[in-house]
Amino acid sequence: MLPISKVLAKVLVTKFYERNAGLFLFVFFLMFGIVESTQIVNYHLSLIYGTLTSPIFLLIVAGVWLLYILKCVQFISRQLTRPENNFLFQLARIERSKQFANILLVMLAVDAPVLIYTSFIIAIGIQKNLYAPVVEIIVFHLFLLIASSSWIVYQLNTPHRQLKLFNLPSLQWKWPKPFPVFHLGHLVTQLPTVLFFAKAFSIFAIYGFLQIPLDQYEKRVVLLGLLFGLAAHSVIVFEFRKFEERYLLFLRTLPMTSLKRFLYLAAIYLLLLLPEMTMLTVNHIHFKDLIGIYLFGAGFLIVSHCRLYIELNNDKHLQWTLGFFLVSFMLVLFKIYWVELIIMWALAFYYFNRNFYQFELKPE
Amino acid sequence: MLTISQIRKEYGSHLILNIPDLKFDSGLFWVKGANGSGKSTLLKIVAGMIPFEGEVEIDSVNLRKEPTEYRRLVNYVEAEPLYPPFLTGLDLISFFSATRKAKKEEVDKFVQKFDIDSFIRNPIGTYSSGMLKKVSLVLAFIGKPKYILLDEPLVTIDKDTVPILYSLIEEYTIKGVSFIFTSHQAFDIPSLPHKELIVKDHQVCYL
Repeated sequence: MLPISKVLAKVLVTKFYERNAGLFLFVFFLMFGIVESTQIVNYHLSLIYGTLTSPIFLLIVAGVWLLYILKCVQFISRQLTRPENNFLFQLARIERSKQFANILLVMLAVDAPVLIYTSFIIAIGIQKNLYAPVVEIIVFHLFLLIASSSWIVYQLNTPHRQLKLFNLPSLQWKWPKPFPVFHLGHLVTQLPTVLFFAKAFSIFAIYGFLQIPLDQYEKRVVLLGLLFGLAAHSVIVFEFRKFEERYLLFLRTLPMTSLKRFLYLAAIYLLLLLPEMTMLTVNHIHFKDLIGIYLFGAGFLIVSHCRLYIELNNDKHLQWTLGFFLVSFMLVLFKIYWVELIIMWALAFYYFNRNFYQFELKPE
Repeated sequence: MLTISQIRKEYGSHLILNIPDLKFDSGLFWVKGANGSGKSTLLKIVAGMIPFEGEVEIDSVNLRKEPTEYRRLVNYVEAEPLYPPFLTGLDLISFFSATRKAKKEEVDKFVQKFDIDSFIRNPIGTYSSGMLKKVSLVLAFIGKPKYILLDEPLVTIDKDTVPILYSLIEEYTIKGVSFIFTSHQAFDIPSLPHKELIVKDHQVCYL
């Protein structure tokens, strides 16, 4: 069974998480990013108590679990029909029980985020002696896992039948995409894992710094946490520049002023930092500080981006990011971050204006 | 008049082009030359796509001194265009129309002519090379250019599209737009005479 489950894990499970990293990021953000950091535990306890004590609330949560499983099944069914995955139909040659066991493992793996959260609900339910909802939840999950695995096994054994159980609506942007969406679209579609880890690290870093007990309001703590998050974004900055060199060279032929091009670039990074800023907003950061922090964060990333119009080399980029991070750390500690903010934006525009048209990848 | 002077282009230490002086007045210009001779590089220089030494001007609008105004005067299509695969053809067309301030009716006309309406709402990653080429040819005509640069425009397009492209070139030539193109295939519009140039030994000269 091991060789089969290894292949299934690579072809189905890893692919599932890669494709849906954006969704997980969004849910992760909803669960942890929009709640004041000191209230996160209470917030989740309230959610869990609500699920265990209110039948209507439990019904809604069960509906979400059902939708998630349907999404998993839909993804796996589509993967099975892809030409490169046709070899998976070889699975139909082994006994049904083994097929079922393998597919059940796949379903457990793709359902893992839901199952992990559910295990907390069950543990708290048992602790509070709420056995009836705990049993209902366990039975419901068992039903979902067995039914979905059986359905996929059925599909594996009947490839000649064009089965269509359902078709979940997919969210698609129907209007022409504005320029900043080009970069962000590349990130979401091609590098979802990079995006997920950068954002998760960034949000955890800010969250961690917000936990430091202080006698009075101190925005430097937020900036220090944000700096760690910004350093984690250095991979995204480099990938954006590579993306420009590979796919967006045509932009150079379009009649746009340097200022307009630069403002577009600024919009990309301001959009990229929206989750962090939302998190800070719910954590009662003063509005005027919030604007400064926002511009500081975007400035850090845009100056890193524009420096890559001089030389597109990953090793040097990482060295530069580390050095820049350390300098920024000291400037924040000594409260001269506003000077850095101005210098970062001015330097970014200088680099951009001077090098945008002059940069060319050296032939290998 | 498109004027090129003192152009020098190297990749690393490898010299590609060395053009002391070259002029294109109006009409059709077919740039010929062997593979790797520098034809595409010449078009990319004129399009303002790659850095180079020297000067390029269209009617006294200098590429370096007035980069935005100059780029309004030139449209360019690559031989093998590469666009982000998750964008749709419509995304690109809308973006080009906005930057080149083109009217919607004008753009719709090209979409109809090249018969791309059935797939422009799909992601570019799902296009065949011919479909992608048709979209890029639509992009070539958007705006009010004085020069349209076409690098291997006939490659990968089907035989039904060739007369459509020819008729548009005729229509735009009458309007005063000039075309500079490269092609390894026969490029023949009977009603329109063209001038031929050759890129050889890093130089470009009229035949």
